[in-house]
Amino acid sequence: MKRVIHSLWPPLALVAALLLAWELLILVFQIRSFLLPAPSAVLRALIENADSLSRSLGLTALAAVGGLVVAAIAGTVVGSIVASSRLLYRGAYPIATLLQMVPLVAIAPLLVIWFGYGVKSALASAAIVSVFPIIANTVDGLRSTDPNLRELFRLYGASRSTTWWKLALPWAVPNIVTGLRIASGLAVIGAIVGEFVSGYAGADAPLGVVVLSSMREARTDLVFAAVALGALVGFTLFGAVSVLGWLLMRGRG
Amino acid sequence: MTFAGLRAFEPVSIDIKAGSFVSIVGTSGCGKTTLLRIAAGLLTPSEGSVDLGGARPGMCFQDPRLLPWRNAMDNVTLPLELAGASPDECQDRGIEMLRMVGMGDAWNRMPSQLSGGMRMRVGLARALIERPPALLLDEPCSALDEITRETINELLADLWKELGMTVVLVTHSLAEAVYLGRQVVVMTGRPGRVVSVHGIHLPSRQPEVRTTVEFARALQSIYRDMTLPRPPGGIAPSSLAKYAGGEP
Repeated sequence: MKRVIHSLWPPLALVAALLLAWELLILVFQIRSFLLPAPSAVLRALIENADSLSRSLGLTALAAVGGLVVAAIAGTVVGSIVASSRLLYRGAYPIATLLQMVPLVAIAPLLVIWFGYGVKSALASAAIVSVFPIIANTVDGLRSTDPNLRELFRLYGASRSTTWWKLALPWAVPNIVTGLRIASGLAVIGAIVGEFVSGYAGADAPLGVVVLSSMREARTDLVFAAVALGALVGFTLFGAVSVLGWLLMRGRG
Repeated sequence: MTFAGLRAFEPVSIDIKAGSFVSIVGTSGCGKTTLLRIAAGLLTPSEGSVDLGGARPGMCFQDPRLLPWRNAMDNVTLPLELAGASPDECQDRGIEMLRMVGMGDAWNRMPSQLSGGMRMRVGLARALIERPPALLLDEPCSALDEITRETINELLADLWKELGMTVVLVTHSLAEAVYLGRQVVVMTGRPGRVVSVHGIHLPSRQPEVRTTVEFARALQSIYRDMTLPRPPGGIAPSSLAKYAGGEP
């Protein structure tokens, strides 16, 4: 616990200092709220709209977490298939790299055509954005399996599938966790971009729609509040993935 | 046996009596490890075969090759697990083998928590858990300090006496080869071939035997077979002069 506090206090102190500086900047230069609201105004907007924002948070979190889970499963499976043969690796890896270059904003409308309006499209968008780092890291991890250990499994007559399950996959866990960490931030971005295109306005509006509608109403404080909640989803996902990684890798040294 | 068109061995024939302890020594690159890997089934010879009586041998490497995410017990039971043994059987045999190598109390320690000697003990327990008829040891002590090497050597001698399997030890240490082996095979390289096979007859197998004349004689005869022929009269001064910058 002491170690956690020791590692947490410097970033927390920095954030507090930045917020204070921001608040003072607004006060000193009398910046209008619709241009840049003070942190206290953002906090007020959060409290006043707690009910609707918590529903929005839930929807965005559902899309981001769901997208990350789908990406984790699909990324590990695809990565394992790609890493299983040299020919597949040479054929599929450049294509996967090129696919990563496709701008998500441009294909988001397609997701609405395929999955309809609502959380499904946002979830698909989150999954598409976050899957590549998981594939890439899974492939790297599986291909870096210690050849001496592979030889050991060959000595004991292990099949390819057993070698994958009991050796290559555990060996690749640190890489997969790294991919998941990168993907956790991307999943929130993907979910919000998906919501920009596919989200419903109204009582059940996700954070992406709250951002757009608040911007149109010049409620910049509410835009910041929604952005802060989106960041909270990202931090929580990152933290959860880090804890999962710690659980999977403890004792490895 | 050929590698990329290069002949790795001259015809090699070694007859090992079941239950004996054979050490193989030789200069680097003479093919000792290759021979051992063929015996383990990890390499397929282009000609000939190695017959170890059909059953899979146990093998211990220079690096014990432990899986870092498994504790000592789970590393030891890996061969049984891969062979489809039940968890109960794995556990019973695992703890038995760990006790045999003096690691009964450390069954739940992770490899990162073990010293080099302890990791080697775990590697030995894993190699023996299937009760193989033969144990192949590929320089198991070369990365260990002198004292740990001593204790592992004693453990190897005890295990051999206790279990009675055939042991083939590849080592760079002549003293280790003579102390442990009842037969020492001397190989030389490029291409690999057997130079000589020495029967080792020592008055005892206690550590003190290494100070006896018999031990020294055994070492000397093996060393003679391993020494490369030198040019008569040593190295000519003229060939050294050019390295010193002088005229021949």
